[in-house]
Amino acid sequence: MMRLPPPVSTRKPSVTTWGLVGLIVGATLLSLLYTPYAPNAVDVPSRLQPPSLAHLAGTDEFGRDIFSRLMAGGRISLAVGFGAMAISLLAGALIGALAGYFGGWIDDVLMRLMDALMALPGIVIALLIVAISGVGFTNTALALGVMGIPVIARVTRGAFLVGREMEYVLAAHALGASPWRIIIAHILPNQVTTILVAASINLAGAILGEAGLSYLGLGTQPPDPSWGRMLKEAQSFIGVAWWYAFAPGLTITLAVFAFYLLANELQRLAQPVSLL
Amino acid sequence: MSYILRRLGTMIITTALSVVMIFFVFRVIPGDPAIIILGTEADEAQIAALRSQLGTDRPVLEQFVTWASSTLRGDLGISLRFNRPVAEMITSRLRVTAPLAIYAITLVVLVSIPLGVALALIRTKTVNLAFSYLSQLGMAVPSFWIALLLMSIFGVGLRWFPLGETVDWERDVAGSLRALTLPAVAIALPAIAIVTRYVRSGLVDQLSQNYMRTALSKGLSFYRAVYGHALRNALMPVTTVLGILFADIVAGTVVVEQVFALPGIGLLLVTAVNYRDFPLVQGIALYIALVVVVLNFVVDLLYRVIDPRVRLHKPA
Repeated sequence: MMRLPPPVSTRKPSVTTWGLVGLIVGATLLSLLYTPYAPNAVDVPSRLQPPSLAHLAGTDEFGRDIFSRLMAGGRISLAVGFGAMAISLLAGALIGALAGYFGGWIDDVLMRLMDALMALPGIVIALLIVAISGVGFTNTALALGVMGIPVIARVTRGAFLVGREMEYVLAAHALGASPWRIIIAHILPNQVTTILVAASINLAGAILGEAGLSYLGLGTQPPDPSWGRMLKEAQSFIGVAWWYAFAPGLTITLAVFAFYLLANELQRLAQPVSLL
Repeated sequence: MSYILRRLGTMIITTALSVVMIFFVFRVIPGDPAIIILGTEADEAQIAALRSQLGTDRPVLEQFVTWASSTLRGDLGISLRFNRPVAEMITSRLRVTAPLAIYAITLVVLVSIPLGVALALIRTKTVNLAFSYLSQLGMAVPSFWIALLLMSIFGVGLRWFPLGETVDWERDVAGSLRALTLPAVAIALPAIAIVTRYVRSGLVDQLSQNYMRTALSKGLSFYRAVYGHALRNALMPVTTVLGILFADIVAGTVVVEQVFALPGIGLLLVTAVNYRDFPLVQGIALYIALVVVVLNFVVDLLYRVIDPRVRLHKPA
């Protein structure tokens, strides 16, 4: 007797994944209402203190509470990440959908362009864009967004290559539906999870990218805390205050990890029940 | 042969497109380079002078033709900040970045293949679960944070490795390797997480193939069957991943060189961006794109050498 996988609705969501995503997003949202200390409050007498009950992640060279700054830093890191993801998703999905649906020369031209974009490492593309348009919130999101376009485009193209062969597409076509209608109303909803999985990985990459750019001093600007920025500031104190660089790095790792896990989770939940 | 020619053709097209893209990125994105460099308070005459030095006062198409033709001749222009030929500056920085990248790739290959094989052979529930989480964590860790941690533990704390110095290759090879070890490990770690996954899942697939049963039933030892048959097939997709990884490794060097203050191409790029040195930024981006495309081409050819079944019309 063959065991069938349980239908989608009864699969248990992963506690680790949703817990971690909830923790990262929740702490960031909470920082809008409450942080243990004001993120930019200077308290010189208690500078560079190791983690304690009063300061969970210690304090920095100005006596600012690192834990509060991490909570507040999430706003910028996540906002840039989500902004970048939105840009990659919109542009990438459009390019991928056109290439996958129409095929032929449109596919060739668009995909060669994506190959060319992929020849440049993401961080180099981001640095190119920052070099021209300058540093700042919007430019960082734009730079990281462009960096993610080719991967989303490829994944979407693949999904559309599968989707366009479906019989309901043929049926829609026979009923006289326009290509746009078929793309948006018929193929896209059926392939949306594949694209969302890619988007979640893209979000993780964008958070990592923001941290990298800010670490290089070309992302978020002071005094706003962002996780990468905090790592940059911590570097000078690496010999005297290990916790200063430790906490932001761990936070970045956990946040990126959370969205990688989320991608797995989406993939798992989306797997159709197979009868084989 | 026709396969190689076709691949060469695609490579040239990709490179040409990268060149066009790098050029037009500088024109499409709003902002006048001359004003960005001099600041908004600069007087009109100065701005006009810089515009003509940069060539941005001429029609876009003319600029492109001038730039592309000199680029094809290997002339990447003159750095605005350092007043030296860009090509020469890149070449001098290669002495740091090339060994660093090669060191990192070597580490990736040396660690991920045995590790992937071991994990494919030991597949208990706990090991599988632990690996699945650990490898995702490895992919999530920012390489510059690893670099900072390694630096504080092994450089500042234990003093096992020298910090902030580069040793001349001609004088002291062992010393140069030592100085590059921490940065190379930091760059390699995320890549190891990815490649190990591919080696492991590739080998797991191969182990259940019919030829493995044949090999075992004709009396081949398990060890020989795995290393002689399965691993060779499992490494095919890994070759492709290594090609993609070059871009990652290069990206890793950009940030990690900053952590260790290594005077390589990555550090030069960040400096160039900070000074808004457009010819330098453009030159480095172009150079990196070229290296990545050529390396991918080489990997493609390698693929063909390892697996003669691979033909253009039926890729594995």
